[in-house]
Amino acid sequence: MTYALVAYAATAILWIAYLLWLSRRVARARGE
Amino acid sequence: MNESTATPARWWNATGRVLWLLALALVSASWWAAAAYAPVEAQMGPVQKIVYVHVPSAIVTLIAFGLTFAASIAFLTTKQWRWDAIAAASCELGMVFATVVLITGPLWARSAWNTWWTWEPRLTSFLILWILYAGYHVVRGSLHSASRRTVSSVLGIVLFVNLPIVWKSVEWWRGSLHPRNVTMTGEMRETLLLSMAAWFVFFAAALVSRLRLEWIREAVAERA
Repeated sequence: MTYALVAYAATAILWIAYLLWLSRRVARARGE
Repeated sequence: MNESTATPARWWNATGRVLWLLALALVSASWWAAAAYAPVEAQMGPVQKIVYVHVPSAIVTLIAFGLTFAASIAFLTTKQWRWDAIAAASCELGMVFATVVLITGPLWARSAWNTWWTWEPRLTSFLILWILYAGYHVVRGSLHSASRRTVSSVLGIVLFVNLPIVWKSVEWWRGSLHPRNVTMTGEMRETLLLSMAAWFVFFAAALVSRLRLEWIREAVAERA
């Protein structure tokens, strides 16, 4: 059960981190 | 802004919003289904539920790199920058999906094979795939000349050779521990299909968002 929870949590964290990085790059490209 | 970058902002916002709403609803539903709807597998127990995120991520990885391949060919044929943008955006998302596969796989393997990692054909070929596509981004990021798009496209085509190797590795080499096919029935199958649909829509939503960045960069470069 722990491994499954870690797998799902890691997936969520990785995607959230990527989307935050993407939104920062969009803001920077716009010159904000 | 010329015609090539004149895609209306309204289109990006509307399409992106609809896709993101759909993606988040489907991913939430698939996670609920994995937790509460799909039964616990008799032999492996709850750890088997990793399959519902691992397998869709692996398939979307191959779709993303396949799209990079197709868009790279389209760029070299037409020389239209938007194909290069699609190739690069898809490749970046493919890397994130591949990373999910490389994180969730060992967590499953620890329970199934009593080891985090083994150098068997599917795992090894997938790791090589990840390293080589990381190289695509390193090369692309290091080039700032006019040849950047052409070099990236050639890489996007050449690296595609790895995809059939990963796909067929469980058949071509002996001693593969990795399951060849995922055969499920009933609620497990429904949950897996829902998860695949969810992560595919998630990929589409993320691709639109990532492409938006390329469009903004191109528009800024044209103005400069």
